Amino acid sequence: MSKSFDRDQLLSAFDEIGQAASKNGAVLHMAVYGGSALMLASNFRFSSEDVDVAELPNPWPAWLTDAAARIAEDRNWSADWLNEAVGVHLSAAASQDDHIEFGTFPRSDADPGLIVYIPTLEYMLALKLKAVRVFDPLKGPQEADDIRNLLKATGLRSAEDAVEVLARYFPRTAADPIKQLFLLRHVLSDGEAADAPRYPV
Amino acid sequence: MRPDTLSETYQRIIAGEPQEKAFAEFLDTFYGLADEAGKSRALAHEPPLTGDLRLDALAGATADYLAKKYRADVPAWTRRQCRYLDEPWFTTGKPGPGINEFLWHSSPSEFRSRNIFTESRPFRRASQRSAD
Repeated sequence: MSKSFDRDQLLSAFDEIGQAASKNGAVLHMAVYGGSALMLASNFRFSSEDVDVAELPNPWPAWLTDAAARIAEDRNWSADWLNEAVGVHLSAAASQDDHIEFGTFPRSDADPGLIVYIPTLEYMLALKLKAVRVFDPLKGPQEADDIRNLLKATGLRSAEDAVEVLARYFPRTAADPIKQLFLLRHVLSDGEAADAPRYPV
Repeated sequence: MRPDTLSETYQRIIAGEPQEKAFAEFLDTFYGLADEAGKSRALAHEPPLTGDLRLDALAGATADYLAKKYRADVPAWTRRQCRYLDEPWFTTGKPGPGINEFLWHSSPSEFRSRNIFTESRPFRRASQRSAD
């Protein structure tokens, strides 16, 4: 049975990738999205089961494939815990300005081999709003919590304001926003955000 | 290791693995399968009953839905009575007339026929599009 992981475990895995990169004379830039980005940089998400990443070299260098496999084996994580499937869901309108440098790895004084980026608060919100999986039979409650917390963190009050953020990154989705508005109003009335949600912390 | 079959997914849930995680991993396996025969095998064996009526009906809806969507064989076990709910389940924390009507209309027939009312494309995963 493979395990979910928490923030400390993921940071330790990034240390290991950073060390492997350093040892091979490389510096890897990697953007992390989804639940893992929230787990790394928010105060309201605490576990994830995989890491959605982008910006990796194609194909992966052998040292990265080996490091990811070793990490999975040592920690009993899924073999594809580090995966790029999210790439097709990202915004073509997003640029480097829509990402924040989260940290460099390893976290020791050694030369950094891995630089991790996360989406800005508004880009993260837009990604969640585009997918809007709030009624998925199993993931729905977590998705709704994430959206409520991100909305509160942005200070946006209304569904209309949220759709404006969505339009900045996914104009086609936001061009006919009736469904998003309906669902957002429901999500906003369906539960409470955390007391002081922050992203990034 | 991810579960290879829906039945194994339910065994893991019964053993204590969180439902969301077990399902997510199974879906990644399923979407990554190359052919219809492999997808049929992943759904063929009936999952054990959990005692949670919703979860047991969800297994039937899931196998029926995924099989039809991906042209795999719909297993006969999905039609057992224990794979249907007597009472409606709207997959929202706060049911109400408006949202219930929305879910009634959006729910795929494999769910609606089992009294499960959910979104129009349940079980979306980042891995899905690349496998479609």
